[in-house]
Amino acid sequence: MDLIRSLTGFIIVSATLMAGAAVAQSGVDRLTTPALPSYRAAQTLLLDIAASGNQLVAVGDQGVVMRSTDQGQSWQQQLTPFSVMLTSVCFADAQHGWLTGHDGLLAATDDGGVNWHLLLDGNQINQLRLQRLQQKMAELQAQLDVQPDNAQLAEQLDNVSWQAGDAAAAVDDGAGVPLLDIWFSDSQRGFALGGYGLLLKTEDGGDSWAYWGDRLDNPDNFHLNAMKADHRGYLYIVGEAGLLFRSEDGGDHWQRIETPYDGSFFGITEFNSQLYLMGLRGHLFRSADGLEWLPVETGHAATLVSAVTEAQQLVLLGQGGLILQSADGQHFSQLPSGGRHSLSAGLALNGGYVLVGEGGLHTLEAAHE
Amino acid sequence: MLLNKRLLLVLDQQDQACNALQRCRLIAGRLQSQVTLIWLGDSIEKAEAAVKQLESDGISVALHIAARDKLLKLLAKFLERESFGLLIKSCDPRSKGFMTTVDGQILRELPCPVLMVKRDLLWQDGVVMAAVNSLANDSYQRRLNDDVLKVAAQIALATGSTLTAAVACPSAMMGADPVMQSEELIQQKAHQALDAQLSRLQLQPQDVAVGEGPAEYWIPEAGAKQAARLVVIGTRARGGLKGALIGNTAERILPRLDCDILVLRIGLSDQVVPVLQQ
Amino acid sequence: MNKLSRLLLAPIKGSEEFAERFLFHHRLPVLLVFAALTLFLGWQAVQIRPDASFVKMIPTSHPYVENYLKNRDDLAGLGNSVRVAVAVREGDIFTAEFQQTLQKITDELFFIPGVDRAALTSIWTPNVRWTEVTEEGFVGGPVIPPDYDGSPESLEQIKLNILRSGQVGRLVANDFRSAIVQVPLFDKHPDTGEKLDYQVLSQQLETLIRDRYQSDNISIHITGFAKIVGDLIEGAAQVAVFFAIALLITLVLLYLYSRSITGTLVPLACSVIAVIWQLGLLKLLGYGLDPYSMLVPFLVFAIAVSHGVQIVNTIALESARGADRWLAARRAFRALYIPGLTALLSDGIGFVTLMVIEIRVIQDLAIAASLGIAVIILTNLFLLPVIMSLLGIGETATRRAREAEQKQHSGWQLLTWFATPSGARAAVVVALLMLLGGVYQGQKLQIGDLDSGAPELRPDSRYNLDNRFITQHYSTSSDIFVVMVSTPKDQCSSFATLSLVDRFQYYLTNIAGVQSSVSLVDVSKRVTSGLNEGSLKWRTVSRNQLVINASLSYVPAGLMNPSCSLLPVIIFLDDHKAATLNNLTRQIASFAAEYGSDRIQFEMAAGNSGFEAATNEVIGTAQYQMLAWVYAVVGLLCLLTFRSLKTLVCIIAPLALTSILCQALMASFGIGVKVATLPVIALGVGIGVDYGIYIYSKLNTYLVQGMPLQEAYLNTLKTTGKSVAFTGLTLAIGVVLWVFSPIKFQADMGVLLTFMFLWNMLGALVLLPALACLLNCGAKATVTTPPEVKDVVK
Repeated sequence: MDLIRSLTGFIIVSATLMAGAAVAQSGVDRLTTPALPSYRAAQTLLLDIAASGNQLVAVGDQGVVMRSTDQGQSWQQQLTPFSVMLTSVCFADAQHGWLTGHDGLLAATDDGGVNWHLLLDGNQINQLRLQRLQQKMAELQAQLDVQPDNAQLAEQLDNVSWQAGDAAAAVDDGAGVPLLDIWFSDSQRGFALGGYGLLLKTEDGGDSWAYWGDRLDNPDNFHLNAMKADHRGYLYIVGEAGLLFRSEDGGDHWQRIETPYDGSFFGITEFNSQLYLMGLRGHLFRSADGLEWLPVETGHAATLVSAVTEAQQLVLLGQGGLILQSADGQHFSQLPSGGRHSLSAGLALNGGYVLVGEGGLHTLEAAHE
Repeated sequence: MLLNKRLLLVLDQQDQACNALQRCRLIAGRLQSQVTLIWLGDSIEKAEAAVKQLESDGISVALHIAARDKLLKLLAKFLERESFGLLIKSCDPRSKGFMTTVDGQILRELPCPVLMVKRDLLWQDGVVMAAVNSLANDSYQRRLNDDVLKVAAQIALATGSTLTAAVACPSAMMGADPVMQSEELIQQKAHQALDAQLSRLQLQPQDVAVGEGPAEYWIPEAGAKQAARLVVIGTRARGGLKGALIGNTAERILPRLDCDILVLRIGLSDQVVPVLQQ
Repeated sequence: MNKLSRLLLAPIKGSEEFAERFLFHHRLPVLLVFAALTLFLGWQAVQIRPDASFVKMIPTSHPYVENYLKNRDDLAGLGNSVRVAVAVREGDIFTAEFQQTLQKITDELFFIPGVDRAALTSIWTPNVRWTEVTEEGFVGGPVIPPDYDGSPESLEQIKLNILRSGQVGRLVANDFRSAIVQVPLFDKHPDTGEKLDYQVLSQQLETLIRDRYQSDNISIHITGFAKIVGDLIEGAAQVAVFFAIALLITLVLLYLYSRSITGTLVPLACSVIAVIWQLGLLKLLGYGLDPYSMLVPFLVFAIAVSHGVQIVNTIALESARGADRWLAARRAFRALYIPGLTALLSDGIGFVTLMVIEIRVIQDLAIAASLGIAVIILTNLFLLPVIMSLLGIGETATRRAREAEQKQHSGWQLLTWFATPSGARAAVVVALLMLLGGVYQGQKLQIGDLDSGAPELRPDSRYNLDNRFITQHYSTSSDIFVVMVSTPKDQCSSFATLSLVDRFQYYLTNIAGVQSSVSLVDVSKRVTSGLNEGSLKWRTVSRNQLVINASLSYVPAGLMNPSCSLLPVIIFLDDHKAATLNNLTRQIASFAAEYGSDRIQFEMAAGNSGFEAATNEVIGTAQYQMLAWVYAVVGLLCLLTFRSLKTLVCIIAPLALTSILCQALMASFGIGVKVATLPVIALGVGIGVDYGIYIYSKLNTYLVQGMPLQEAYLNTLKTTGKSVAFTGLTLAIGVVLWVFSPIKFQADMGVLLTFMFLWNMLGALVLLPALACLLNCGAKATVTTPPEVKDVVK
């Protein structure tokens, strides 16, 4: 009965394959349909939170952007012209900020998060990617023309051709690529990363973007989940299947680092000059130099997705409402979070924390004296 | 009707009182009629005895013996063959379960007037009461009323009795026509109608009793009050299904009166001819 | 007008003679026939069974319900279900004893006839699964693993599985101290095709589940429509006890009033016979007793009693004037024939008009009530006088009636002030004030349920306590509203559809009263997230159709239909109050108008709250439709009978005032207009019109004689008025005790009926003459010689 039902479901649903793409005409396009105002917006699934100046901005599903100017006491929903799931937000200063979302959405604000305007969408990203790959193909072809016996070049050209084919198909398929994280070193230079190995770079504060994903050794196009810089200015990208990349030159060249785990990493953070890598099923690794990684036992098996770093405390957030806290980075204790809702990100605030996740905004008072 | 001097007399052997026989003698004797006697019973001698009584008054009698259950058929046959002026019988109000009484059947089926005899009091110098329904609307009913009054007047004249009239008014009905809602108004109206009728027929009964019905109640009341010796009433003679469902008021009055009753039938007015013009 | 009325009324007036003669010439046969019929119908009546059906309660031609019925086969288990919550008083559910109990209960429920076994859900059924994302992908399994053995490790495993299954708040309480078995029911028994017997089902739930498994540590809570109906039917016995009490009170008071044994027993007996006939005829016609039509027999009884008392009273008056039993009965029959018949005909036809409301329960009630009224004509207008003609009213009663007629009742004298211009004006002014107050208050009248739970039962009834338990400990309420999203074939899982439904579900969270919603979109989102290592950032509808298709490879039952053209969105509400539903339907309609298209349509509604919304809408219009029809019929008949608009006003105005005040009363007492309470006001009109017609008829008989209004009114009061007052008071006293009934529905009816009996009585006794006075009613009849006689005289 079970089997039949799932088979039926599968068969029927597969049939939708045929008509799937063409039907995007009816219904609404999340990229261009404004978010719905809601009195319960603060309880929507929220995925990231950032602070800048005296304001806090949280973003999440359905294009919801929540903003607070009173240290998290009250929040207002800022209406946006799009309603895709927004996955991350960051600010360079009190006025300028950026956010990313599904369907390749990239948007920016000039007034501290009140109004947001679209910078990029998935179709444009697909085009950027295709153009870059075609350009690279042309370069490689030119090189191969000069050295026709270079097997390595030929292989590279093959790979890039394949990637270019894939990119062409993506252009046809539409804006299906999600952006998962955004990072700006200052108000001009920044990176956006996302699913299927997507990496973009901007030098002009987001007005124009270049496809950067070909600089990563990511032949399987695994998802890139998060990006962070350490105290030396080295950039790290973590992703699916145990991926870890490091760039020492501000993102031009990337080196792939071996990690002792094959599952997804969702976050990377620095505490007391140690780097911490966290991911699926509670895996946590620590490194002093970013190259050698040692496992850390936390005693919990829930996936860890993000961290809140303060001077004295390292706090890790995970699924099922898990909050782990450590003063030394070795021994972790669990904080009661008051719920079972999975957490996605958080900020330290007034001795406590403002967390976002499955249940929306959640404030945790400082109660751990 | 009365001109027709043929009388039909039904005598039941079981009836001890023989009032009907005596009455017949009186009437037949007065009118010089011929009598056809139908004897219910099997004793020829008693029948013969009755015949003898009649013949002794100079009345010619034709005798027929019949079984009780064949009575109606026989009567119908006779009346078909020849017309009789009057049927005289003893009043027999017994009923067999839910079936119509014998009298009832007779009243419904037979076309001639019927005299139901109950007492042996002479009508002479007594009171003859005519019971009429003066509030009736249809012409048949009114003609019947006329007949009843006329016949009653005739008999009163012939027997030297006082003529009286009685009208039973229906009870008041709430919600009906305004007049019908009040007993007084109804009786007023009945009075007026009766007066009109009486003046048209040029009759002056000595007493008029207008009262609240139903007729089964009032007519016997009036009859008793006036000590009538003969009450003349009409009957609609409903037969068949209608008779079974609604019945005839006259039949229901019969048991309650304790004097003789002459029942005239509706629709036979043309046969009623004033007989004695003196 | 006169011609028309004569034409229409001739049968009534003309039939009197026929009826009178037929009945009184054949008294014994009539009695025998009635006795035989009573025995036969009585035998039928005791076989009558409760007949409640879910579909009967919903307005089947409302667009919501039509949409539901159209898609019924594709919407599994959303029509009718019962939830059984098994709770521990101490500790939590992760003990071997509890799990064993839960397993046994699940099995017991599986075997109850009428249960949709394929859709039965509890953590012990194989269709409830947990899933988890690992490095390799999804893993999953049934919540109760095949190797469960009751050991602490197994229990720990179950706990983990439950957390991973998303059933917390659904099948397992938020505090882990109870678990639910969701039991969807068929409307018809699958094997026999017969309608599901809710009483039997309810009893089975009680004996097989609650009685057997409830213990010191385990408590059982059961909710669902079937249980409400079952409890109501169980309560029918108590309802009957209250009827019996009302009957006894009527008996006692009637005796004290008439001092005649026959005058008490015979009308009551005839009224009871009317009820027996009514129930027997219903059974013959194939109907059953609906818990919501439980009041009709009492209503029939009440109306029968008021007519019976009128007749007995008139018989007493006739006896006082010297008539013997036969004569008194016959005269009374004739006197009351027209008003009695008119009143009953207007009641009967008035109730038949309730058929215009397209809810089966109300149509059945219309038939039951009309049958009852028709039967009253036979038992109380025909049989009663015949019996009284044989038994008589008794010496005491006759003597009292005679004395009463000769006395001057100072009590009644006071009331006649209302028949004077000053009194009349005072009465009318007060009436107008009350009218305004009533209209004002009546605006607050609410349609639908005002409270949560089952308002037919008391807030502290077992059902409502169970309901509260479940609402408090679980996240999914039992108030479900389903929006059916229809698409072309195979399009239900396209990106366009899913992203729009996603937006719709978010839109819903913004509506007050919406707790949560679930649909295919939630499945897709969660599985998409699961396919990406459980990341929250992937919990959205993928724009890539391949990813969507992968996410929907396993779809739980009820979230789409086999041809992928229907996608139900199941909305859980905080409550099913009318305001909540109104708001919800309005908002959904607005969304559907803005975003719907040829390809994607948002259709309402299924689920018990969906049906309630439909019902509320129908009731909203039906309420006034119903009153319009009843008043039209009653008014027409009165107009034809009395042939005067002024009379019509005199009779109808007090009724209208009663109706309006009754609505105000309902608003004040927090009684919402629902299927159960909808007909009450219309029935009240039926009760009240009798009083008005009798009083007016009697008043008129005095007026035609030329009596001035005040004197005529005094006489009316001494005769008919006395009966009306007595009947109104007695029935009110009998009914007021219903407020103590454990069935809140009956208690509410008690309040409303008490009010209607009393107010109708007051209206007929005070307001009617006041209006008559002000409108100068009263036809004076002059005794003119009838034209036919005039002709002949000439």
